[in-house]
Amino acid sequence: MREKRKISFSEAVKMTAELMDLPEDVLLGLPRLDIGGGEVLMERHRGIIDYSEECIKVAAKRQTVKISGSGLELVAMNKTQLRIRGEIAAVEFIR
Amino acid sequence: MLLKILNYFRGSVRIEITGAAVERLLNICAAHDIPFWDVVRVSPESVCASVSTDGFFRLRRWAGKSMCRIRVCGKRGLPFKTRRLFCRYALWAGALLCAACIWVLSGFIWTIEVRGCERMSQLEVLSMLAENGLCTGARTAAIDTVQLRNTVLLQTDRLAYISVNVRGTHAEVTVREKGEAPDMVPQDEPCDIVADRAGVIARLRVMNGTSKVQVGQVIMPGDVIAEGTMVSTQGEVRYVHASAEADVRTWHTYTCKMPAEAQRLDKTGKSKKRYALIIGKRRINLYFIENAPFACYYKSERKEHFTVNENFRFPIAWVTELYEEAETVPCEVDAELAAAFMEERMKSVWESGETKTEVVSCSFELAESAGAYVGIIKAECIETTGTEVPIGKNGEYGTND
Repeated sequence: MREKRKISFSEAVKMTAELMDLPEDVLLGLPRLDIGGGEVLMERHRGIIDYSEECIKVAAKRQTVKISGSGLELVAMNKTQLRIRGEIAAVEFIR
Repeated sequence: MLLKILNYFRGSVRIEITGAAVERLLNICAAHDIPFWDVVRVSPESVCASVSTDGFFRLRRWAGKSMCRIRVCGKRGLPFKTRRLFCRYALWAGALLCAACIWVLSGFIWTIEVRGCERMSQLEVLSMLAENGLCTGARTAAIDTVQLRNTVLLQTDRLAYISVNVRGTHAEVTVREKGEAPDMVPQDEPCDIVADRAGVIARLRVMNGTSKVQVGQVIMPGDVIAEGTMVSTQGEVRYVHASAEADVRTWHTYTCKMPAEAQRLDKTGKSKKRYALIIGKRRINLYFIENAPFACYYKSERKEHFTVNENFRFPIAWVTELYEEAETVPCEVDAELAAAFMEERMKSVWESGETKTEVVSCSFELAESAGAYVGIIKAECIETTGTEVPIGKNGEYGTND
């Protein structure tokens, strides 16, 4: 007898995204980062956890994004986006 | 850049947020659409950020809830600058006074420009206008341009036409002078028609009087073309005001000499500028007494009036005089150029004559002799001749007899 496999919500979204050619991160509400020109533009954040010139931790869905470097500055922020400027050394995703 | 300009016009406040949960307050700001930017960590428990003026008041509500203190570090933007000006009453009073002065003074004539003067001087026209109420300082509302024009034309017989246009504080006067009328004999006085130039009669039409010449006949100045004395077949003599139209064929030779070597003025590159300020009729020279900055120079002058627009001119002008040093350099004159120049010059000389001249044929020759160009222009023309001379007053010319 064949065993029925349970499909999780995220797997269902992934399959739908694949089926309908839709961006997966948008459907799942995952963060999106654009890095370049000494700037990080982050979409779909959930607020700042820690803020200093060397490290900025930003909450996102199911993870925390840690941006480290020197002279970091929060240039602008609103409900969905934030922009960080400075010498960016690393971007880590912490679960 | 655009955002910075926008923020300048909207106004922004630089604040320092101090507290244990600064990040929380920033998150609250983001969640409640309170725009903030340029966040800089200044100490472990405080950050500096810029917020809009309306965002600042909304932010204060949340500061207490997130256990943070807000301190204003600075205010930037146009709203704060204008607010600072509100309490400067003297400045506003001065601005109002200035506006009132301009409004009052705009009702008067400040500058008058006269155009079209040839034989008459601008001063003569201006004095005539001043006698009739148009002068610097006259009220614009009191100037009736139509009446002024009629009065001036009645006062003088030297003007054929005058137009006065008052635009704002500036008056534009355009004049046309009358040409010199020939001496005419009154219609009821008997007269002869006498030739005033030599030539061969080409066309002749006698309207009144007795014709004394024929077409093809050579006439000299003073010869009677049409006589005012008419004798009837019964031998009765009658004197009339003779009238005739006569065209004579004339030949003219003009000679012009030009040296083959000439002096040319070349700019050396050195120049000096002098400035002056004209206020009303007074000129203030902004330079020390220096009549001629160079021994030989080109001079150009530029006058710039202070104007708001075309109709609102201040009686103030800035004068810039440019002196460019020049030196004489000997040069040979090109024969073709000399010929073209001389031909042009000689034509302009005879075209400037007052009599109506029709050129039938024209030839130009250029010869070189003794280091000079000699240009000869020969022209065959048809000219109108005949002046009215009272009978018996033709003594200075002589008669046909």
